[in-house]
Amino acid sequence: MSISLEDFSNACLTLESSVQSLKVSTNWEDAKVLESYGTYYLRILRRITLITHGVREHQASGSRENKEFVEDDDEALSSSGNSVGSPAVLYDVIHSPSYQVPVLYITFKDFAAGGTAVKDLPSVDEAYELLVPDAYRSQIEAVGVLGALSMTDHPISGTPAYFVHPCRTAEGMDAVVGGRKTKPEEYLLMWLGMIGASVGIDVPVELAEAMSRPVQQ
Amino acid sequence: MPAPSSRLADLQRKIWNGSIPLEVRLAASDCRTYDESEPYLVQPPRLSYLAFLLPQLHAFFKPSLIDPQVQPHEAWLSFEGVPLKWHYPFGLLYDLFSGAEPVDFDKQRNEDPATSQATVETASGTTPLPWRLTAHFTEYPGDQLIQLDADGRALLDSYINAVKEADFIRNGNARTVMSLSKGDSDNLWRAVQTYDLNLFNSVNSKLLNPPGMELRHVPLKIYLPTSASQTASETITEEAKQAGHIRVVQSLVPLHLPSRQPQTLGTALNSILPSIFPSRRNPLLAQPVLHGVVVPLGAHLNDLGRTASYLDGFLHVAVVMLG
Repeated sequence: MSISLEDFSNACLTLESSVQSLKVSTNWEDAKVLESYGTYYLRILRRITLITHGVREHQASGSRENKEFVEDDDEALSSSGNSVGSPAVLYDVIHSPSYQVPVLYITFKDFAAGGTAVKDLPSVDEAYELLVPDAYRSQIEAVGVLGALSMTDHPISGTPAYFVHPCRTAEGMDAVVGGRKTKPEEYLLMWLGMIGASVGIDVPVELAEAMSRPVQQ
Repeated sequence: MPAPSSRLADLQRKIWNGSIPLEVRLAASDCRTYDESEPYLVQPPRLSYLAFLLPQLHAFFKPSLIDPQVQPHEAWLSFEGVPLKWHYPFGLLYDLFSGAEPVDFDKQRNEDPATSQATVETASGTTPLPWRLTAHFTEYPGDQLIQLDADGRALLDSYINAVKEADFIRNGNARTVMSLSKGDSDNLWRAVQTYDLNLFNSVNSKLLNPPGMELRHVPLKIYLPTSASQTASETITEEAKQAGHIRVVQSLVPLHLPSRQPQTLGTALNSILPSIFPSRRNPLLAQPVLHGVVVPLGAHLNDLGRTASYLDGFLHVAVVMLG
């Protein structure tokens, strides 16, 4: 089941406003709609903190108004282990004109290894280590057809990025949607849940509820 | 009127035989004798990929390398400081970066008939042939180029992904490419590596003629140099402003218009980029370039797709601004 660019764009805007009005603990620091030559796409930013024995989630503790509190806590966090600043994962959800489905592109920001800033994309194994907490790694083993990460040029920046290949997305969405008529934002949420599961995107239940309520004002 | 198939086959063969002379020099920073190493001369086919040259380049430059332990797949090529992407076909890189004036047969017909041979010149009048590139063996720009591996896996994966996407675009599903036998898919990659037209056609014709299916869309990618870009918008910032950044535009292009008329390059470009191609028939602001030649806007995309596509099934069209 595919989605048109127009429906996708509207869904992104709906999701962005829902996230902004949520007061719930999620592993996303931010979700915003960006624009490139007149086309909208969604960027989800997730902070991660590296410590010596794997990845610890840097919990965003609430809505954007509380952001300053979280930032002040950085010092406390860095004393607890071998953290190297606050690297972030950028999940870009971009509509594919060829496949007519959303496609997920993953890049890393402020990622450092051994204390030095690294501009290059981490290797696939390193990427999985950063994206998926140890505890859940074994469950991701059967990632199979949907979750395997490949490398390509990010369609907007033109620089290397990981992506989840979209050739089976429409099929997967058929299975998830099961012939029901869905609103664009419902489609987008289901897609996020399906694709995001193996790459560390938590879709909070509250978000699904908020999106099925009519948007305030 | 569609061109006869023998004309199309001829055209495909001509394009297949197109090549560009290269002069590759070793980067001074990697060279034991600084900038005094000999250049490597080679003439790769336009449709092929630069990565296939790495073993020869490595063997040629090895005696001059400061670090002789470096592996062939750690090398990278640049033109005037711009790293060249591995998965872009060689001819596309030349059309995009060399600065060479594309051959314009319409313009030639309107000029002095005594000029019978097309001359290749840049805007400044200097010949950009052989194309001069620099080979580097250190400081791989991983933030701009995808890392290669010793087995050629990264290149194969990116090729296969493109072939799948082209197939999906043509048919609305990837069933045809996914149902190729292992022998056929191996042959396709082997045809790319050895540059064998007959072997390539033996598999590619199955992709272009899926039984019982009529092709719906044509795989097309349009490359715009940043000078052609529209006004800046709130996007990924620094990377986009990097030298050599090319904006890649894709849109689903049906083979026929709603009126059932065949889609031409002009109708497609006018529909996808109306501010750059305001007319469907006349290139007023920019020209589409394929394999070093300005393509007439009236060319049928069906014909173009069957004869002028690159090895991955796509028409990679470079846009050159006029004036």
